[in-house]
Amino acid sequence: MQIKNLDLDDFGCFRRARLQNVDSGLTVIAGPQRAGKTTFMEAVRHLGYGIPRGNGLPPATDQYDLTADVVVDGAEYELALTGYGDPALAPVNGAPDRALSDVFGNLGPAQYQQLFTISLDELRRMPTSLDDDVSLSAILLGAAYGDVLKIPQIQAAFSDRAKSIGGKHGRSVYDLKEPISEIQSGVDARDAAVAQVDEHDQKEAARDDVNSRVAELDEEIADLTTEQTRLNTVLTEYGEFETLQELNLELDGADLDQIDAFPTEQLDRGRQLQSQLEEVQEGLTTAEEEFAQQVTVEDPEAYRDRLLDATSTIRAYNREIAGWRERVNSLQEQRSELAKERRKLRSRAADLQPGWDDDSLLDRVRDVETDLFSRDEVRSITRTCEDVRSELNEVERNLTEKTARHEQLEHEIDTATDSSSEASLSLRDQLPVAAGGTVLALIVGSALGVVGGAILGVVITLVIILTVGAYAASRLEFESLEVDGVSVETLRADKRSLTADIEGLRSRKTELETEYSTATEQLDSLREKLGLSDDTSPAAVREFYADLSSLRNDLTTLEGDVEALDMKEETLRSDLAAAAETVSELGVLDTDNSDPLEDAEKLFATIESIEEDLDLAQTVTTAQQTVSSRKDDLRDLLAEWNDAPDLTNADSATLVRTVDQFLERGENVTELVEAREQRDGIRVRLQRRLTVSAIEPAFEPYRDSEHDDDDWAIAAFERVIEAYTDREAIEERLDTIDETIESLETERSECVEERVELTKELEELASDDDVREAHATIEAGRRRLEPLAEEYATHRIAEYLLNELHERFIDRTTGPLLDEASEIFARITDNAYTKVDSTEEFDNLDFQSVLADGQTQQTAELSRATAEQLFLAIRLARIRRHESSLPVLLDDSLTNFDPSHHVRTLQTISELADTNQVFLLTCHPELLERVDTHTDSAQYWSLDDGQFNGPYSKPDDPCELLEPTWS
Amino acid sequence: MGVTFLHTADFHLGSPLRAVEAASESLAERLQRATHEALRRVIQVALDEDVDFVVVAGDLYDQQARSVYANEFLVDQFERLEDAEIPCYVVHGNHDPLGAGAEKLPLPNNVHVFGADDVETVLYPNDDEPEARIMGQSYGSQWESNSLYYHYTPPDTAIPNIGLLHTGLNPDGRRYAPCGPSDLAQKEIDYWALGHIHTPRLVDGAPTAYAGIPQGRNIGETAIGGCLLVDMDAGSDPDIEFVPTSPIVWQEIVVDLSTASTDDDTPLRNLADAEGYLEERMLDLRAADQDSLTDTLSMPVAETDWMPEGFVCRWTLSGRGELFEALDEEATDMLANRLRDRSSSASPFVWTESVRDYSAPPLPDLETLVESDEIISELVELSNEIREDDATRAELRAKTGDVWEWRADEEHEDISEDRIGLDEKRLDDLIDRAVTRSIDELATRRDNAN
Repeated sequence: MQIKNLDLDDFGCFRRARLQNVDSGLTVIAGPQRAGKTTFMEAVRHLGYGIPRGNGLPPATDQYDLTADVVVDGAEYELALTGYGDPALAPVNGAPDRALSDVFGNLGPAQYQQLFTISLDELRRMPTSLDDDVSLSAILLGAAYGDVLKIPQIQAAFSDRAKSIGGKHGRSVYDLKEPISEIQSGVDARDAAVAQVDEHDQKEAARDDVNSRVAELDEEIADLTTEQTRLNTVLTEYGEFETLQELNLELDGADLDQIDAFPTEQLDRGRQLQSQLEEVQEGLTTAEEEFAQQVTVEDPEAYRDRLLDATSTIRAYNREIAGWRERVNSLQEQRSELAKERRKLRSRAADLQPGWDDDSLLDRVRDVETDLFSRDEVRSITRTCEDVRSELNEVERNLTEKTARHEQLEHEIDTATDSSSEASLSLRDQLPVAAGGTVLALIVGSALGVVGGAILGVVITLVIILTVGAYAASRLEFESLEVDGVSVETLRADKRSLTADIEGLRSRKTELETEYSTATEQLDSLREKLGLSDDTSPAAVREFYADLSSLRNDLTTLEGDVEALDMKEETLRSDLAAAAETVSELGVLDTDNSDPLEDAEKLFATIESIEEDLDLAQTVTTAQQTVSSRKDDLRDLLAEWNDAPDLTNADSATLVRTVDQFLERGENVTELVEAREQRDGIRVRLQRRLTVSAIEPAFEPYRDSEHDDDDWAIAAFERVIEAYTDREAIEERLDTIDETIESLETERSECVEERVELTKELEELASDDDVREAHATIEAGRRRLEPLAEEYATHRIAEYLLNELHERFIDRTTGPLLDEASEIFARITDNAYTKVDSTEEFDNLDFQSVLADGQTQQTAELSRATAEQLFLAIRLARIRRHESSLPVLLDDSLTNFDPSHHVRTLQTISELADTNQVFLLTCHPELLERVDTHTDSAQYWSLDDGQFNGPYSKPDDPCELLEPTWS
Repeated sequence: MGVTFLHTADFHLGSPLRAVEAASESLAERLQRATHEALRRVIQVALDEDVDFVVVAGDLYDQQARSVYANEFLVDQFERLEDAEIPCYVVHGNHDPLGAGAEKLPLPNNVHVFGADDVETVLYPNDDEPEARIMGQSYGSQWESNSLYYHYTPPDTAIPNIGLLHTGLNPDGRRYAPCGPSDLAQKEIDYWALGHIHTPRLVDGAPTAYAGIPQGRNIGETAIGGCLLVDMDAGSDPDIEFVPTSPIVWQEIVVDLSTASTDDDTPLRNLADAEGYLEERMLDLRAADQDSLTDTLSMPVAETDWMPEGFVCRWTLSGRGELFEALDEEATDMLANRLRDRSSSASPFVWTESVRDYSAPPLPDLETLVESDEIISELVELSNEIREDDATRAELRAKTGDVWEWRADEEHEDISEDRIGLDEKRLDDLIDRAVTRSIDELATRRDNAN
């Protein structure tokens, strides 16, 4: 872009100031101090970007008003800026539309200002910080350099972050340290866990070893325990075994056959029988002596024999004695009773018939012929007499009554004859009743006759007839009475009836009197026979006869009883006589001329005495039999002894002696048998003890094949004992075994504990918990590690990328720039310096100046002028390289240069003016002169008080302005 | 004559899931036992399908995670096959090599373990009436630099020939039986049953398949775990079906903040927005069916009633968005904990492994930045140049720090746990992230300046 015309209508000190037809090359504007040069530069600086508020710029009088005619790529535009508004670019003369930023090469305002408008102060200023967006470095190094400058910052941030994660090398430090440590601990744990399988195998093998060892120990302990059992048994049974051996020795010389043949089982019996024989022998003697003392007979033994012969008789008599005594007593009592009864009968007889003689009383009773009259006859006779008499009396009484009545009736009839007809009617009225009753009697009687028989029928018929007849008769009588005193007929009828009755009674009386006479005769006869008086009443007769008959019967009974008693007495006497006879025969009773019944008690006492004798005799006999029996027993017993003498007739003494020998021998045999039994017992006991389940196995090792029988254990026992010299040796061995077992048990116990421990460990080792936990730990660590590792790597790669990017930008941007700057700097310094270089420390950007001799100088080492030349060279180079040819303003930038540097610089600027419009603002007239001298062409303007004058082709006028004395 | 068998590999028994340290006790137990449960299920598949035999292509257990418990569990599972009279043919891989340090497992008689010295051949069911030929060779040590495949040469093709190999299938590798698909295709093997690579897949160019790991253990193993049921006749292509078994499924869900929005179609601005958004994604995940979970597998999947017990999820917040301002370590931890509180007890549960913040501040898109900013433009250009420049890449690898360990081609399995594996892709990721971060800083600072 090139400014062709510039109207500064209102900007600071400028009001309607005009630059017209500005040259496209080098334009020098000269003005004294405060003429407006710097204000002009500010105006140009903001022309394309607008004026920011609060900017410290020279104020406008009214409002900022700048207008420029510019040429861009040959096309003309008007660039106008008013107030604080954006500048406007308007095409002129058909120029194409262009964006203002495009015109300014996309430079920012600061970049443009710093790069293209250079004041002396700014030329001197060093880049201060990277954060300074308007830093010189940024300006110098190009449009993108602002962003590029940030790259190291970002890069550093990535680096810092990466470093904080994994340090310089991405190792186990900082953030990475913990997860990696966790992983490593997990790996260690996993290694340990997977090693558990091997450990498990080892432990399992170890447990197998322990099991084997335990089995061995069990076997050893079992063997020792067996031996211990064996030897303890040997010790326990040692005494028994010794006894056994002694018994064996004792029995070895004995004839065991003889011993077996000896009836040892009879020894006790022999001893017992011997004792019994002696005892019964003594008893016999005692019994015999007692019998002899008891009896008084001369020959007691004969008497004893007699007694024994009559034993049953004596026993029988003794048994009878009580009965006999009873019978004797009974006879006496009965006889007394009968005598008493006889006296009573006599008394009764005397009472009955006092007339009889006392002596013949009972004979008289006996003599009465009671048999002549039977009891019934007496009763008949007496009853008949009484009955006939009684009836006769009754008939007589009736007759008297009826006769009296008859007479009364006759009298009544006589006095009441009128009523006789009614009486007859009444009688007629009763006839149907009688007839009906008769008919009924016949019918009922006939019927019953058919049913119950003829007799019953007749009887019933008669009864009915009689009943009806009686009814009719009574009715008749009643009827007549009812008409008492009225019915003569009735009275007559009664009279006829009475007459008939009287006649009947008289007839009856006659009959009865006849009967009575007969009966009386019989009664008299009876009285006579009974010896009773004639006046004895029939009842008394009957009673006498009854009493007499009773007395006679009682007497007969008494006499019978007396007779029976006599017979009993005779029988008893006979029995007692027989007993007396027997007793007499025994020689202990004299029975001559005595009534056995009278001497019964004596007999009885004798018999009882004899029985006592008999008892003693029998005791003797029994003793004899016992002695004999014992002797027989002994004989039988001794018969079993082979060595016994002949004892067939041996007496008791011999027998006792022989028994003594038998017993003595028996004791010897018994001892041997006992010894043998003891031996056998010991053997059995030993055998049993040795073969109990707890002990037998202990002796099995010593079992001899020869001893398959039950004796093997004792043989084994003996062999065990033979292996040792004595008990002490066995005890010593047992002590050793105890110690060994204890030691082995201890070891076993340890092994078992170890096995338990190993089993527990094996269970733990079999689990995969540890390996899982270890993997979980590893995984947890990895899960934390991986993002961090990614983050680290990402940051490091980003760091790398940004570094590359930065370098690439730096290289691309600063390389050609520095080449150009070097060339300019060399020219300005007349090759005192040959090269401009930049440091790579972007956070402290600096340029290095290389002297001709190759030495390098930092900016700070340069003189002020040289430093200004350096930065000017860099700016010029940068301006050259910029794609857009924008106007360049230099405001007294060369003041400090010495003349030679000044000239070379102007030459360089002059060359720049070939491509860019250059404004040189100065207050130094010598600069104008040098421009004029050392450049091809330049346009000159004077500026004073905000007004331009020019253009001039020569610097004279402007110089005049600056230095009036110039010319 | 055909056979049906089950192809499995890479049990890595004992190796726990890498997400459990913060889980509740019951959930932790499920996660920790997931590898065991997956193996149990694989064996159950063999039993249910009544296969002729089972082949295991290495890495049965993990020497780095070995335990008596794991060993006993492995033996128990083989015994289940023994009870069903199912033979099992096993090669050992780099994680469970034979030789020094190998587990001394009391394996039942139905298990044949191929030795490490040479390729062995075993005939199924017996030598007299063979129905299939299984060839295999175990690793003898952690690394196997020999191309084991070369010696897999069956004597005939009358019966199906099955090659059992643990390989990274990288012909340029040095550690895991180097070979390529074409190498395998040369051999007269009807089916290569491979192990080592944990993603189930069919290999192009050869009758070859990886069974994959039955249960993924970390966020790098997001594929559904399972085993392969193979039905094949001699000389013909095998029929292969994938049977999913993994009780737990790993998921990494990337949320691009530049496109993610709330229900109101506004960008995610704060943690509440983020939480709500992630909860929605969590519900989506829980509603996923077997087809959607397995559709990334490029092989037929058996029809089963399999569904995972749960998901272990990593939420990666990426892209530019306002949410960036709200995110820091504390915020992502809090977000993770809140998400854990949400669905960790549901069925299927969703356990948040972590929330990763790779977000960036909201700036104009890169193209605009490049156009408008010389430095950013230069930076992008520089990064593009660097990516292509091996020397610079090498320099950058060194810059990543000692915590990273470079692995050019091979896997990172043998890298020490306290270091992170770095490969070209990861380096590119890191460079991308560094460029983004640099741009963020440059743009932000410039904006601040203006």
